[in-house]
Amino acid sequence: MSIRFYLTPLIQAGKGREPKYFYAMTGLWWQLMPMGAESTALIVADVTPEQHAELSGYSDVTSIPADIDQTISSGALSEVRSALEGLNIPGNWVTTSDTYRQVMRTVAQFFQFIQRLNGITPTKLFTGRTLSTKWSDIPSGMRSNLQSAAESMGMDYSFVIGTTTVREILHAFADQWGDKPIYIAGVSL
Amino acid sequence: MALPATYDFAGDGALSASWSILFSSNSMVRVSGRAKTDGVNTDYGNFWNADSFNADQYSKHKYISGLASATHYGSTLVRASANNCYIYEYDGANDNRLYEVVSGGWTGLGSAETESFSSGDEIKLVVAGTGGTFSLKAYKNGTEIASYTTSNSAHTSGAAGICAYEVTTSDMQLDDWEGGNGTGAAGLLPVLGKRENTLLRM
Repeated sequence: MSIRFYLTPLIQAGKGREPKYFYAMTGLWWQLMPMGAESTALIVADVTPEQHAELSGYSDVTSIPADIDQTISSGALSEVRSALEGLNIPGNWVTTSDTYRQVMRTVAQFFQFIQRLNGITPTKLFTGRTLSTKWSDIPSGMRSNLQSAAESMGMDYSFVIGTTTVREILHAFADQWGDKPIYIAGVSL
Repeated sequence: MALPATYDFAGDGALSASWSILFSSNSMVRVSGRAKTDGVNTDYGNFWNADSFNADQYSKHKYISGLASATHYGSTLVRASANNCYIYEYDGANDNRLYEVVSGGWTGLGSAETESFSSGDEIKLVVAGTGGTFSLKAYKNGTEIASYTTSNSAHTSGAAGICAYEVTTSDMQLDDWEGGNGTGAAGLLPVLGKRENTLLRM
């Protein structure tokens, strides 16, 4: 058994949303961090080699290397960026000097903001919007919700102007998380 | 009133005005001094509205009877408002789970655990911290039985409460609810500074 991290889809199963594939694996231990109302979660699981092989074989599951403190190789950089962006998670900031732990930490910071947003409104941020959507193209109600979420987390959004994109906003909020702790299943990221 | 708040569900009929309904119009009811559902195939739950809770809070009750695998559940919940809460739902078999409920939508926070319950067992859920230092811990008679140690920012405030669900006859019975600030007991405070690089299993 080994502890592995993944990005996985959330699907409707059982009582509500559950991690696709993981939920159906009998006896598998896992704990997840949802991306608010969006259908993605960062998940940690205690997997056998066979379970990991199965999970990493699914095209909609993103598997993070076991050694999360290794830096991202130049060969993997494009794959990491596109995997994140494909899930509406800003990824273009990732460089080969970042470790997978640092990437997961920033992803978790994105998720914390979106969780707070979801606590304010059930409307999904990425319904009809993308990371490239400009602030001025976001409906006023959602803009107000984004501001409320930022204020409730002590985030400064004074940098936002009409041409600021969702990608830039989320990344700035992740940066503002600073050195505050962030955990998944007790593991400090 | 002052916290901790208590409610023994004495008598029969509707709960007192100190309770708000968690989901839609599905309030629990008092039957012969127990808390019960008022129907089947939906969640019946309430949260305490007569006091203002701190963010760090607990909710506990006694399980009396009615649990059945994957069909009959009791629940204890914290940071609740209408359609929102963190909840520990237990069937006493293979489907004891921690969830977050946001705008009525449930998300399983971790895999199911096996734990059996006997009449009179005290079930407690404790929430501490917000954002990075968030944690949820469930206890049976003071012993930790489930833990979620992942940062969470969905709910930063709310009240403690109680809930039940059953798919067939209305025979789930809970009793003696208490909700308050902190952990409700000495010695259960999470030691966040010691969690670093330690994987805590539910």
